[in-house]
Amino acid sequence: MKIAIFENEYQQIEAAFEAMNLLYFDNKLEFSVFPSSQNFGPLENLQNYDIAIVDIDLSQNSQLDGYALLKKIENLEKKPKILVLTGSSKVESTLQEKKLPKYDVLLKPVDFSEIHKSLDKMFKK
Amino acid sequence: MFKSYKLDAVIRLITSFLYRIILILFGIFILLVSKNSFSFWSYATIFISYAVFFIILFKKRNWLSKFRLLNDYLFILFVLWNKELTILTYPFLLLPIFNSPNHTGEKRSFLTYIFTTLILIFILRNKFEIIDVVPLFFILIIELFEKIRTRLLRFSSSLYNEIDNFYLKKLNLKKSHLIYAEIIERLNNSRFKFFFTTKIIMCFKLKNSKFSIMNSSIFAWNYSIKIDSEKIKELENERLLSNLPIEINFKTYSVNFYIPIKVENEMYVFVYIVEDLKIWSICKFYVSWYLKPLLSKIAVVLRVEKELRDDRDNYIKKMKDKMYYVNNATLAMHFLRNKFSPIKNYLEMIEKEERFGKEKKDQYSEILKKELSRVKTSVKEILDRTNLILEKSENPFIVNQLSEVSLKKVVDICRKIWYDFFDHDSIIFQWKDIDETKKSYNLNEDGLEILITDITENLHKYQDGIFKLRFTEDNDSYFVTFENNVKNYDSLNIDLEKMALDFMSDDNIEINKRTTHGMSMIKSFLNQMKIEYKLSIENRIFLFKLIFNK
Repeated sequence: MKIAIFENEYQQIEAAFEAMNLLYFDNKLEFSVFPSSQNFGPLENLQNYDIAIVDIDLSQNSQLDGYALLKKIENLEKKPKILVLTGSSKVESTLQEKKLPKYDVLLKPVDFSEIHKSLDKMFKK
Repeated sequence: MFKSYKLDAVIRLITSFLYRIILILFGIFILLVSKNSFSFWSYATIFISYAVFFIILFKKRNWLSKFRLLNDYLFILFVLWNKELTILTYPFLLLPIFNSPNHTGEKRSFLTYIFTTLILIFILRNKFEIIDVVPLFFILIIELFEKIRTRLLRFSSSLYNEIDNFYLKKLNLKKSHLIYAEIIERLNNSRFKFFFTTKIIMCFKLKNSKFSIMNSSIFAWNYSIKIDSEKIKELENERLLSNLPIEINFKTYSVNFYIPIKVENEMYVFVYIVEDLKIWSICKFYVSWYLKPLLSKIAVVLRVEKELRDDRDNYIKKMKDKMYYVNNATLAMHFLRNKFSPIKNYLEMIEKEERFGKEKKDQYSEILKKELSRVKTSVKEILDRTNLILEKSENPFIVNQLSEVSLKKVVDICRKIWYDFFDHDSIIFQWKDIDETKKSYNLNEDGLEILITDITENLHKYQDGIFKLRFTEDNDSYFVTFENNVKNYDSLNIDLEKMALDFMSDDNIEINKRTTHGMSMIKSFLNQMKIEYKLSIENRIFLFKLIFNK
């Protein structure tokens, strides 16, 4: 299972992801972390991932913020499942305003159990 | 609504009637003291006919009113028939001219001069002497000047009305440049257009010998005024200047007027760019006497606009500080949410540590150890950020600037806010020497308004039919007391008497901050402005007293 994580403050949640991977997936999940949108390279390559976790506030030097990145992903022919990670409780209404689909949202602060629940739900979809 | 022009019409009718009586009496007197050409009965017939025609034509307007004038002159002609011009008969002949300002039409009729001249020619047909027409000539000259003056006044008045309507009816504040188009149209279509044709009107502010554009009848994206310091000095002394080249949008205009207007300490210079300038001296007189007062009115509006703009700028600046503070606080909340992730995860990991098998324990402990280190860093970052937010000097909601506020201003603020919720009858004013007192206090006007609004809003929310604002005094102090009974006093969840005691105590300020946010804010404002106060409940009446030392 390959998961792309677009998050500029991954160190804040790194241990939670590691613990979840260890306890529930026997370290079988592969995480690739990208602090800014351009770090990923061509977005077409997202088809190689099962899930993309997108934080709305990416690093200051990121070319795209989370919403713009989601729009680009939506335009891809083959796209992974999306999980939105954010500290803002208004993200769902903003997604609606920006005419983006109703993604699963994981609200910060997060612990490993919550991350597991969200991923588990996505794998079952 | 009473209209002044209706009164004017009534007065004109009465004057018209009186004038005819004078004409008849004057005519009878002339006939009595002069040698007459016709018999008594002929004159009697003429007098009766004149009176009858006058009654028929009375109140008639427009072209029928000319017949009333003709009737007057026919009467005068018969009375003066075959009589010489004397000190008695000449004024009789000139009476209609003297009466012409009372004509019902707005424009004075030159027919009076034509009829008078015709009768004069008839009387002087046998022995014409130039001296006999001199009085009529002079009256005609005076009338001409008077006519020009009246027209200028009417024209100015119409322009004033235009400006009033522009600002009052259309509420065109901040769009002052639009009035120029209307003024230009009026000027160029008036009877005075032969002086010059106005092309552009511009207004500049003159400060430190520099011109900065205020507004203009055209969009001036580029302008240049190159005049020497002597001329600028003349403008500063409010002297009208002309024909000083001005470049607008890279086009130079050399025929113009510079009209300086001073409003308080601000100097405005209106530039009239004209063409077809005919007679400069007359134009100068016209511009000085008639356009300058008009432009003064626009300058005053510009000044008011500037003050409004300054007020707005101050308000926006205050708002900006507050928005910045709130925005910063919101960002801090996002920051905190991020920083809480390691703490939340660490607690979750500790809680579930025992649930997993031994084979993963070492790896789990390694992750836990790493997370603990992250938790320590996060806690430090959270504390640093909260300290920054709680730093008082950066809080725009804190009253940190005090200035002298008069006691009268305190009354004004209290009353103004009170009127937003209650009527005047609920105010009891018992300060005796308020007119004489010059007492003032170190307060913050905005802070005081927020404080009074808070108190009054609370009072309005909880009152149950009894509410008063009392201004009372004793030998040492002035008191402003807000009082009200309390709705559902017995079933309230709050112990009001305890709340009042807590409010007056300084022992538990920090605790009350958390439980009674509104009241603690009121207390905070009172303390910041060092206003003495007393909160009490007497006979179930809530009394909030502000105390100002005499």
